[in-house]
Order: sequence, then structure tokens, then C-alpha cells
Amino acid sequence: MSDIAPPLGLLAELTHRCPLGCPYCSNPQSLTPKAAELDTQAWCRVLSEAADLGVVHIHLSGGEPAARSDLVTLVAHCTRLGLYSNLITSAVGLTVARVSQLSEAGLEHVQLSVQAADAVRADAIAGYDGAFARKREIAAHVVAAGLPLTVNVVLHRANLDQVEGLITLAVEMGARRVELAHAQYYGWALLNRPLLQADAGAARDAIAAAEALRERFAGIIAVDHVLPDYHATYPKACMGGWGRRTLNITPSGKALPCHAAETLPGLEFWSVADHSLSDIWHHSPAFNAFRGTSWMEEPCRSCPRQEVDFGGCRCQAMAIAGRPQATDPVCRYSPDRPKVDQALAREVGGDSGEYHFRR
Amino acid sequence: MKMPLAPDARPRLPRGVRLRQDPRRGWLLLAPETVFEANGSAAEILKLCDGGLTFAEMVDVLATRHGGDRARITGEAGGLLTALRDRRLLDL
Ligand code: SF4
Ligand code: SF4
Repeated sequence: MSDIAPPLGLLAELTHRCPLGCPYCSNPQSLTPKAAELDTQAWCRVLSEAADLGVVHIHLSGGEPAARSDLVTLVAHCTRLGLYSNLITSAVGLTVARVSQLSEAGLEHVQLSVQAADAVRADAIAGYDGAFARKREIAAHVVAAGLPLTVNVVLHRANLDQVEGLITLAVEMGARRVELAHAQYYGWALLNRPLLQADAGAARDAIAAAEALRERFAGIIAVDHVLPDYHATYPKACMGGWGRRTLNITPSGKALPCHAAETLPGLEFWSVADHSLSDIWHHSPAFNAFRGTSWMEEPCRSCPRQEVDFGGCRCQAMAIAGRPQATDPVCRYSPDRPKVDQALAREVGGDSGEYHFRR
Repeated sequence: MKMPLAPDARPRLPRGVRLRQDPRRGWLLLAPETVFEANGSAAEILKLCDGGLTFAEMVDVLATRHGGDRARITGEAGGLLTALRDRRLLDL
């Protein structure tokens, strides 16, 4: 078993509750209700087991993690264990007092989502009036508390032209880092794909802008850029490889190799209620299903990139090719690549309809 | 940017960036949403980044400790520290 390296990171999806309704949200379309969430004691046990297993980073996420009343307690528990705690938040639901408490409890980093560079567009995308103003207010307190701040923006058709404005906004907010991530189509985002998908020209302009600005802003703000999958030649190394670096725990305690893994048929997911984290990491069928390269089919099986991208994303293979073990259809060598191109051709510049806001 | 480090700069790891010895993996630099594996000499350099020493003094410490050549150490440490500075993972 010792040949399976321990995970570095754990994404704790503390809750699916969230006041915002972002159409690009990667949460599953059927959301877990509050009554089914793990309690404080269970999360503390999971965090302790994670530290024992070798995890160093804990990403406290959701939904909106601030919807949990025990957030400060969980951060303090991470601190006691020497775990690096990262709060992934929309800011809506945080208060100034809570930011101070989190900072005192030892929180190490805040990642704040921003939907667009101006209030009108941002609030329209989030489906929540006043969200943008609230984010700026909370960001100021995060920075005043001495916490490092990253601004995270999901890029899609409705904000792709704002790359420079978004980076400037992040600088104004006092962030040390801005993450520009082109939308990826899981959960609610898949449902909204026809309205999110940008055309190749707009995507190319945005990529060029971000790359140029990364240079210009070096030393002022770090610009991290997650490229748009569908316009790429090769797929992303999803999760850094299945069961290789990270794991996700859902609000109800299911352990997943990635946040969308439940869309894959035939996988058996274990719960932290029944198994230790170590047992899950090493022995659960879901984690072993696509670990390494032996599960691969052609063209991945004989491809020199198999340890680079691990055949891409299993959930995307399922969503587009209909088979989880297929080569990620984004890959130029995939026999299913035409399906990606057809979706692009059909959806880019398509009708402007109404978002399905995540509810 | 890519400006070299001034000899009187005082490098320090800001909050949210820290060095940690991991029983399984050796020295790790934990940073916002990334982890870097720090080899022996990188860890030696990073351990000195607490704002107590100037860059020139850090080079002195490393040169006496390992008997290395100052110019080479300046280049090596400078390369690591400017890369971190440009990503806002090091304050001066
Ligand atoms: S993406 Fe938007 S809706 Fe989804 S959890 Fe984050 S803030 Fe809430
Ligand atoms: S064939 Fe498979 S391994 Fe090769 S680049 Fe495509 S997805 Fe990656």
C-alpha cells in the first residue's frame, strides 16, 4: 500500500448552502440539505485523520462555508493540527467580526470569488443584489486582518472581456494573487453551458490579455490562469491525476476523487461515517478505479503524455463521450473530439437566454 | 519586473507562506493553494527569510556555513527569492 503516495490536499465541502446562484457553479444539480450535513465532531475527526494521512492543505469550501456556524471551530482545529487552512468563500454570509475570529483562529489564506469587474454585471451573474459591494467590504477586512487574499474569477461569455478590469480590481482589493479560471462544465455549469460558452476568438483574446498582464503585474499581483478546456489541444491533468494528490469530502461525508465524480456510473464511494480516511484513500473502489495508467484505453494507453495529463478528466469523458474510461474528448487524439467541436459550434454566440441560477 | 534583489533587502515569508518539515516528503513550502517541495539548499535559504537578515547577510551566512563561493550563492539564492517575490510569496 505504501506505493500509493498520500494526498497533499483535502477539499472540505462543508455545506451546499449558498446565498448566491452563480450559473457556473460546479456543485451537483441535486444539493445536499442542511439536515444531512456532517456535524462539527465528524468534521474534526476527518481533519485529524487527514493530518495523520499526510494532508497539508485544507480547503474549506462549499457552497458557502460561512453558512456553517462552526467555521471558526473547524479552522482552530486545523491550526492545532498544523494544517494549512484555506477559506474559499463568496464573502456573502461573512461578517467583519467573523473575519477577525477566523484570523485569530489561525486561518492562513482567503480565496474570495468575484463575478465581474463592475457591480451591475457581477450581481447579475451571481443572481444576488449587493453581493459585489459586500465582497469589497469583506475583502478590506480580510486584508486589514493581515490575511493573504486571492481573488478568484470564473471567466465565461459574460465577463471574458473584463480580464484587465478584473486584475485591476483584485489589486485594488489588496489581493496578492488573482486566479482567472475559464468555466469548466460540471454540475450547474453543465446545465448553463449554452450561455457560458465563449467563442474561440473571445477566448483567445482573453488568454492573450491574461498572459500579457501576468508579466506586467509581476511583483504586484500573481496572475494564475486556468485555460479554457474546450479550446485546448490537450486536456487538463484533472485533480493532478485521479487519487494522486487530493480528495473531496461532500457535505454529507462521501469521499470523492473529484467534485464531479458522482456523475460517473458504477463507482462505489465510501463515506467518512463508515471508513477512516486512510482506508478510503488506499482501498476504496472509487479511488482505485482510475488511479495510475493501467485503466487507460487507446489512444491514452500508448501516449507519451499519459503521466502528464493522466488522460484528462473522467467526468468530462462521461459527460461528452458517455464512458468514464474514454480519453478526455477535449484531447486532439480522442475519437470523440468532434463532439466538443460540435458543442462549441452550436453554443458559442448562441441565443441569449436566462441562466439557470443555482438554487 | 525580474529586478535583482538589493543587497540590503530583508526577505521574509509573509503570512500564508511557510516552511514545514514533512515526515514523508522533506521540506515543503506551503503557500496559497500550492505546495512547493524545497530541496535541501532551497530550505536552507528559506529558513533565513524571517526579515532578520539582509540579503547580503544571508549570503554571508550561507557561504560560511557551506564554504561556497559568494557569487554562486548570490545567484542561486537570488533566483529563488526573486521568483517568489514576483509571485508575491516573499516580502522585502
Ligand atoms: S459558485 Fe457561486 S453559487 Fe456556487 S457555491 Fe460558489 S458562490 Fe455559491
Ligand atoms: S491521448 Fe490521452 S494521455 Fe495522450 S494527450 Fe490525449 S488525453 Fe492525454
